[in-house]
Amino acid sequence: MQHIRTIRKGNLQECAVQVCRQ
Amino acid sequence: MGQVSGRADVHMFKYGGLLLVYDVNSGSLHQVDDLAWEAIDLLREGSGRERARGLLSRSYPPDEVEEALCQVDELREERLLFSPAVPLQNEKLSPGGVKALCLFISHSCNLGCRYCFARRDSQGKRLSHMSWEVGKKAVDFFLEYEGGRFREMDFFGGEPLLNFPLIRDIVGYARERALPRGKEFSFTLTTNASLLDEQAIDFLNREDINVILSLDGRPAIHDLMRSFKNGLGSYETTVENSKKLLQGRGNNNYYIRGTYTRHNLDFSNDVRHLLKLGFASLSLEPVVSAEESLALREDDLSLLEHQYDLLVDLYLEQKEKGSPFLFYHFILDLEKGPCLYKRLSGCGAGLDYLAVAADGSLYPCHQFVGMDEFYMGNITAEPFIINREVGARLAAAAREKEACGCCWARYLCGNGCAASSYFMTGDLQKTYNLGCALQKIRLERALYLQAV
Repeated sequence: MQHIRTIRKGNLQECAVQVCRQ
Repeated sequence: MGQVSGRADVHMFKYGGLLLVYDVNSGSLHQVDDLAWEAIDLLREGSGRERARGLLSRSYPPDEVEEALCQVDELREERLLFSPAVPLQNEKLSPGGVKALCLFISHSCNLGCRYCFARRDSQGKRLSHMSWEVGKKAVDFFLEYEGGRFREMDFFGGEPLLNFPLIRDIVGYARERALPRGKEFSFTLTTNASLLDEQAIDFLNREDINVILSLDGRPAIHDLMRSFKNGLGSYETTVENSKKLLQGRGNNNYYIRGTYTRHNLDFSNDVRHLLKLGFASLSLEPVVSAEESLALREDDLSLLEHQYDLLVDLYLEQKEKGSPFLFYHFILDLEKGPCLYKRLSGCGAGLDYLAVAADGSLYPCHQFVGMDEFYMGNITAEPFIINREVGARLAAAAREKEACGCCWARYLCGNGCAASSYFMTGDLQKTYNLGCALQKIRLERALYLQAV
């Protein structure tokens, strides 16, 4: 049974905070 | 709604019937069931795996407990939950170059808005309109000062369209000079829209200039805050001209930027009104003012929180109907966002973001223009020496805010606004608590919207 659903895998582990162009 | 149990590295909150876990050091977002919620909470509070398993097995079947703990282990292994802090190098926190420049094309304005921060400036002691000589110097300074390929220039005021020919000349000159240097400019105009004639509209659309249009929402609210000098409201003119402008650009590259105050604590109705007018790219900001009749109070927080709940409902309702809209504070890209150095310096005021007054005086941002304490030099001086100590002071103050280091939102809020701290608490190092609380309210809702 799935107890945890990952909605977004963050990426942390020249960009009126954007996205990193690199 | 919005029940919170936040800690420094793993933030857990319930919203809209969902149990959500935000892993601060990876930027990952998870939706969990009751068992995983309790397991993560125990682990977060310092329980070891075995102790957590024992405690959870009193309420849940042991095999399910083991299953949930294994899933936590897998995410920990993938560094998506309980992920380690990313090491930082102090020297990268203060960039040497300039990326964004705000030009006060005119300090004059044909409106007399009650909350305008340009009023802080003692207008009498400075030039009203920026000259071509200063504008040209600003472009030269911007291109010759170190920095990357992409440069952002904002035409600001006052009302910049009072000095429209200068905007036209600066855009032409900047583009001509940037090309051989391998630089790319993007331009933004912040305007009350009242002076948008055919000539200005044609230029702005042809040159692909982003526009920020000041419109607060419902007619009575807008006119109460934003009247012409003769006392007449500006709503009709602003709406009519804004629509004309946007028709010519396929409704792209714009934001309607409104301000809410004590006079419209029901500001979700203003967002509804803006949508009815056909605008779909919206930024409605809380006023930052100490004036009693306008200022928001900490007592207002629960009312304001409810308004953001209503905005979430409206956001989903419009999405469901096939008429989605952009709300600035609900935009959040967890998978492609910038690095921690950018996240911790936010707008970059005084570092990679600077403002130039009409006479060429340089300040850390548009809100500090005219304040001697934050003067950074004058770009027309020969030789021009920029006083970087002012920017370093702002950056150091932001880093030394004690509450921020252990806050779950520290990589999402841009470290708060230096001007808000200064004008609302009198101290760059103090957190403007109301602004901070509103930021966290909006961020939780932005995270929730990622999950639905």
